[in-house]
Amino acid sequence: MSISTQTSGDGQTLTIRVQDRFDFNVHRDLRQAYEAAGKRFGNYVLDLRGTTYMDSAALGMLLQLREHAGGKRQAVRLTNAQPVIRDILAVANFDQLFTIE
Amino acid sequence: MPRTTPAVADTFTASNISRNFGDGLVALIVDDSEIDQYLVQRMLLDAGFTVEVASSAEDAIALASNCQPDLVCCDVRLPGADGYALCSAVRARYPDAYIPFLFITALSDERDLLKCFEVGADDVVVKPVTQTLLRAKLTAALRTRDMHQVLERQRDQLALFRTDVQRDMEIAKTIIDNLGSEKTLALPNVSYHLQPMDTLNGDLIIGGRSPGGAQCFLFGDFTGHGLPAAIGVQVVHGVFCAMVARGHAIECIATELNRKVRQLLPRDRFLSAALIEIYADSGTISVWNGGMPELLVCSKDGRIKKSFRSTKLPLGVLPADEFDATPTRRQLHEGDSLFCYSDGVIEALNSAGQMFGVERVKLALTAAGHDVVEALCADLERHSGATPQHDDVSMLHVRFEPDIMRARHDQHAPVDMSRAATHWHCCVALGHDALRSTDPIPVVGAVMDAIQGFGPRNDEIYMVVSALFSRALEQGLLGLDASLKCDQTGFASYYHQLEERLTGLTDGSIEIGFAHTPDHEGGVLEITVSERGRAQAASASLHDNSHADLEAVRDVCESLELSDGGRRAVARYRWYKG
Repeated sequence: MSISTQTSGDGQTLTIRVQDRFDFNVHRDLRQAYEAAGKRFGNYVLDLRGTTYMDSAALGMLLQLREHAGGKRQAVRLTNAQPVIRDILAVANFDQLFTIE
Repeated sequence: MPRTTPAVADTFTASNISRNFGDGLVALIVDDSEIDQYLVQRMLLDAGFTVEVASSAEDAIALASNCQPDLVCCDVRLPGADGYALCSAVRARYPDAYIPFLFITALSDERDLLKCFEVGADDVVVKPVTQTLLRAKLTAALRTRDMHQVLERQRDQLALFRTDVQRDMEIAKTIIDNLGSEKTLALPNVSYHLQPMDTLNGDLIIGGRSPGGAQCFLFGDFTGHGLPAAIGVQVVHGVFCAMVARGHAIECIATELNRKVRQLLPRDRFLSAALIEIYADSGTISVWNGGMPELLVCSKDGRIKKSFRSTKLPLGVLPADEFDATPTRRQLHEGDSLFCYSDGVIEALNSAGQMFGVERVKLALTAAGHDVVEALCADLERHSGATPQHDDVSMLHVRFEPDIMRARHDQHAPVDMSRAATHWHCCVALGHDALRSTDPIPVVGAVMDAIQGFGPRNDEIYMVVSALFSRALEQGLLGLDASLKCDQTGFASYYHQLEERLTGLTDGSIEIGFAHTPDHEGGVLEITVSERGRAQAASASLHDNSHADLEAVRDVCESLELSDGGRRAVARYRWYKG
């Protein structure tokens, strides 16, 4: 499975990793990953270190996650994105919606 | 051969095999030995099968041709054609059905047994036959048959479903085609290419000409493909065309599209889009880019002199109160061209998995002497070869050729009026705060259309009103120096100041009036635009009545009179009946 999750020690942060291609095929798995906990975490981290491709459906999924997280820019952090993924996020100007590290 | 129905049940029951697993099924038994025939028949009848019996392959073929058996048990050695031939014949007769075929044979040579499987048998039972083993093998064969049937049903359902979806897509495609987005691009200075990867395109290009004389374009890419995107295309097309036709500015169009897309589509769907507005007269180009690859401006000599990067979020992402509709403005010069492409162009893969890339696009742009879109399509085809397309591919190339773009109607061409020319007048006055939030041109245009409407002459009338209004607002009320707009840096600062001063405007108003008088030839429309602000605010260029915008007004009007230090302008526009 290309989606894996990890909860921080204090239970405040949910980290989701997306491996390889981040596209429509991971839609259900990603949604399950943050809905399975049955609660809203204080912070969400989407670790993109292993993500090699991202399409517009993936950008849509990010919007859904953001909404789930409460709609604030600080609530979802996108980390470790490779240059090609950074470019995609930059063209969409998603830095206005997410904290990109 | 007579059909035999099951005899009285005997006492045999295998531990884990259902007693009547052959219920409702027809078994064909083929054996020239009457004893073997009888033994197998007994066992199958006990299992619930309806049994048909034949002593030769020829008889069996005749039986099987009339009625498809569910199972065949057959000896290899038969008088005449052998069991192998029968197996092949049954398989040939029912190529799509799964009919378990068991050989029951006394042969024990491995080559003979292998041949059974080669001709298509499912299993072999070596004589003497024990009831337990035969039942076990039959059960296994039927299990495979059941599985095959389930798969077949699912395959058929899937095929049916595919046909349904395909038909829905075709209908959606017809509707989209009938909208006529492509027709809006039939402009002499425009070339484009739309190549959907599927029936329906998630990319869209729409063109339009505003009544004020601007060419407007929407170049967009919906999230995903297929029906949801097609529904979005329909909505966007309607809003864009209507607003361009009414003369709305690009900011208003962007704002409305954002509102509409956000209102209608689910949260994870949006429209990456570039909105473009080009005025032939002034050369002003305004671009709003939310999520599209950079738009490139190329000069006549093949130099990329400017790019409009995406600086906004795509349409439909932000709520109305957070949406930023401010476009970027630049100046175009004759021979410049604008090129837009969707990410499907640069992400197109070749057989080695490499992307087409931006550099190849730029190379094609700067190589002179060819049609850019045509050349790029050829490059793309060479690059991709047989590699399947995985995204919609779109390009738009707009050449800035003011004379072609202007192509105004002949001033004296008669107007075919559907309504009688009448006496009427109207007046709209906007105060300083209303000017911040309302573009009055579409408003007065709608009033004019509703009362009279001048068909093909609307363009010119809109141009006159727009020019006089802009002058009253920018040079009059806001005191901006029109000469600033002459060069690239001044141009940017002009619009920056415009934004700033409009926000800070605390008094003043602008009045736009129409008065129409019919006569025997047609009629005269008097257009009055007057500005009431603090006199000292007005820029010196308000007095410059040779300004280019005014020249264009003079070109199409019978007369233009300026009074009150240039703050009041009255244009008389004459039209002729058809």
